[in-house]
Amino acid sequence: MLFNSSTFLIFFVVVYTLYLLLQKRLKAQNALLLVASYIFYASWDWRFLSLLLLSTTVDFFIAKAIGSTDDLTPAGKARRKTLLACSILFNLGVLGFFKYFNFFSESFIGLLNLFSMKADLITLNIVLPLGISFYTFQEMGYTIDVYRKHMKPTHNPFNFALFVAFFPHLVAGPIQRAESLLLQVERPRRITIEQVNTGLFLILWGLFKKVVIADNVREVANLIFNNYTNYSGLDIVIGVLAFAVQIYGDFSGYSDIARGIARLMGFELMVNFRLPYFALNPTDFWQRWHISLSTWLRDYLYIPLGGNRKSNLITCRNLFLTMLLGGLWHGASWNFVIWGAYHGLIPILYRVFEKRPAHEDPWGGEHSYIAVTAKMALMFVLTLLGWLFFRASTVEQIGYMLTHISPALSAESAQLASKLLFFALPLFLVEVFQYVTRDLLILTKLPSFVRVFAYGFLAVWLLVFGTSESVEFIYFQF
Amino acid sequence: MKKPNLNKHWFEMLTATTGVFLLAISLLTEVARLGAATGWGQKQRDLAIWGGSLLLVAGAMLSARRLGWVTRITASEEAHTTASAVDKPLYKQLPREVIARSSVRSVLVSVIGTVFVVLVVNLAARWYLDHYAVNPSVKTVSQKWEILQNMSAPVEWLILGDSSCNQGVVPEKIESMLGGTAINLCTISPMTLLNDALMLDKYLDKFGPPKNVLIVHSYVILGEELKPLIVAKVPLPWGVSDQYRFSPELLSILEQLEISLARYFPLYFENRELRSILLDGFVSPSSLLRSEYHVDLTAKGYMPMFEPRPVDLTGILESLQKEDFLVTNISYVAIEHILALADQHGINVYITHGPMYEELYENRLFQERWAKIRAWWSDIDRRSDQVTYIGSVLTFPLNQMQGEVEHVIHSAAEMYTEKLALEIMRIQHAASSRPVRHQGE
Repeated sequence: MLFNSSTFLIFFVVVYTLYLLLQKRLKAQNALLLVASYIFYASWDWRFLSLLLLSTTVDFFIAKAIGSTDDLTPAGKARRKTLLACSILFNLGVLGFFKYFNFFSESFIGLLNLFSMKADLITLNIVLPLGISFYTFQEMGYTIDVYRKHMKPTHNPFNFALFVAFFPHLVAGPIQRAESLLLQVERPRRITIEQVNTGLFLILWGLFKKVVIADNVREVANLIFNNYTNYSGLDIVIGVLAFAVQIYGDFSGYSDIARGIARLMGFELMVNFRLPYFALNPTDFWQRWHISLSTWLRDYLYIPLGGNRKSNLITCRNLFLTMLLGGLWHGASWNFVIWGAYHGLIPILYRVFEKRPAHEDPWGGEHSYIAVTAKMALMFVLTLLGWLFFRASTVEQIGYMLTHISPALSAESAQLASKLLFFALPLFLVEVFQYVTRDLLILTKLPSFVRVFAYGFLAVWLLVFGTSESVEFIYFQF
Repeated sequence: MKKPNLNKHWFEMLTATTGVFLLAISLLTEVARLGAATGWGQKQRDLAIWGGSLLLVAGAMLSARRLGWVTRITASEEAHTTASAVDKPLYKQLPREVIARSSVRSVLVSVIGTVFVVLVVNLAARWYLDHYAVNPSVKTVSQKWEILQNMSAPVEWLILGDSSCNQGVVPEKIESMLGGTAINLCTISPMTLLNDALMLDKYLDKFGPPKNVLIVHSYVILGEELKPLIVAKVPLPWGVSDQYRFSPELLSILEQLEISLARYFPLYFENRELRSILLDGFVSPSSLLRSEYHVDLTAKGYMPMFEPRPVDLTGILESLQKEDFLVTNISYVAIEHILALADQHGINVYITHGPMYEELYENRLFQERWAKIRAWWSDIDRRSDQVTYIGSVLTFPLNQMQGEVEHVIHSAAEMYTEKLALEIMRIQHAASSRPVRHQGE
């Protein structure tokens, strides 16, 4: 049941109508949302509903046990630590089994073969449960927060279950913090006209980014990446650019739709993207791209490792490890490992080459627009290189594509570039507008007649360029 | 609120006006055919349209900023969101979601306004596709129906069928050999046999029963499914008025609804065509205003083609191998309707096959299929005295073909029509020499 399918439209209309009819009856509304979320999840693969239920139950009880254990005595402290360790082990165990078993098994055998040692390959035919990376991280964040006493555990299992399974963000995030979403689940909600206004805009803009931009640009990216040996020169650059537009349109589109749907029901989900391709440096990029994951990694991995509080070397190690694991979070494949390592290395290089501390502007004058643009362009090129690692299927492909980039044009170049430009241009124009005004919701504030034309354009393009079949979101595979 | 002084906006106005000027010149060179006078070719026009559009957008954006439509967040708005960062340079700030106050009215304006814009663009798309259609086959349908609607006198020979007939049967030849007047109203095979039934219906409404109807089809016609998008090209007000509603046995209300939607909502139903038009137009904007497309037809509706084009049998043979002989529901329904009308009004109906590529005809796979097709039509023949099935076929070599296995060039079409007319003459002669049976004999 994809957001961009007619089935979801019918599902949402029914759920939303019932939700509105149950206004001011919090328990009934939550029960409705929980049932709807489980139906939504089961529509993908009902078998994994049991895994979701098991994971929810385990974390609910562990967090409750942590909350009820005092840490005044060493025994209490040890018990809390053990409970937390159980929760983390359980979540990582589930994630590891379903996501990484085959990868580690194959890699281990490969390593043994390097040393001429023979071993039988054990691989299992494991299907990846949808959204597992998202909901396990969300649950782990909750138990860690309870352990750190940032929040008290909830005593209502149904509220906790809804916090985990809330359908708009269940399968591809944004990864929510319990402090925010669980609180919203537990407290009476009010739907304001501002939420409806911006929620509708987010849905329209998200659908546009997904259905019009990502799904159409995907054809260019797929053509080049899937037949990379037929391409060289600038065509490879076009392919990587197309993938950069595709993945951004796809994932930020999903996040916007999810947030828009949640907002229509009176929920606020965290902003997941803040114009990432306008970033000036790696730190800035990760404050703008997949924010819910990067802040999760920062709070639950980077800072516990020591963050930047210790020596430069330790900080670099922490940065590298965090990004490496961030890469591995995306999937069990060497290209994600390379992508993560690459994103771990660039902030280190930036730290080495920056003459001033990161929080100061290294480029001098505040009005040095050329310098700022150059900085932005450099970061964008580095990001593109990262996308090549991310999208390539094999290490050989990465090698081939990197060594075949040149300024040479082919007979297809103009056609591929014009198609990419056609779909990327509206995104670029809107984002420049958002960047200049520093407001992601600037389109909702245009004068009525301009706004109506802008929305009308988005709707017309959705009808004309909407692909006939619903294309799955890229991040569903993670 | 202070009214903006437009005199101070000279730069924006100049930019926008230059844009409008460039756009106007390029449009005039295209629409008013002033190309020769200005000496502008397509490249120059494309550049002018692009340059003009960019200047226009730039002018509008600069004006919008001056007029205060585009403003940076004020300190008070900032206070509602997160800690103030207004003093920081732009590139150091992360963009936020600043939620402005809104009202039910503004939300309604957005929703209704958006729907209104979609409807207006939809109407414009309908008009555009009617006037600048890029698919000649589809254009053939509307042109043939226009011929039928504009006919002022009845004919002796009403020729119906698909594209094999459209460029294969020469009405002038029929007239000279069989006498009387003839008109070729054949369209394309995706219109299915339904087109014949609908046209016969309309002809009866207009002139009463025709004396003879000649139906010529490709061998694929029986397996064609109803395609609402193509049927919607028939220039009739589908589903709007009872006066034009077709016999319910031909099309159900649901099918009519589907056809109506396809006809009146091209933004969705014809988005493939619009998509390619817009993508082409992005590269070459002047192509959006290409000359109106016309299928070159003779006054009697025949489409002569003169340039031979090669035929590729690969796909056809593959489908013959994979797909079984099939008669679709719409084919059954339509032929039943034609039989009923022929019997009811005493119309002589001749059904036959279009000219054919000899290599296909000689193929073993095709012969197996051909036997089934002939048997099916022979059954139809036996069901009505008014209907005559002409099962013989005339084949042509590659140099007479025109890209498809049943499309021939003009010289072959003349030869085919001549043979067909001779066959009809033979049948008519045989019928007239047959002794008349009296009742009770």
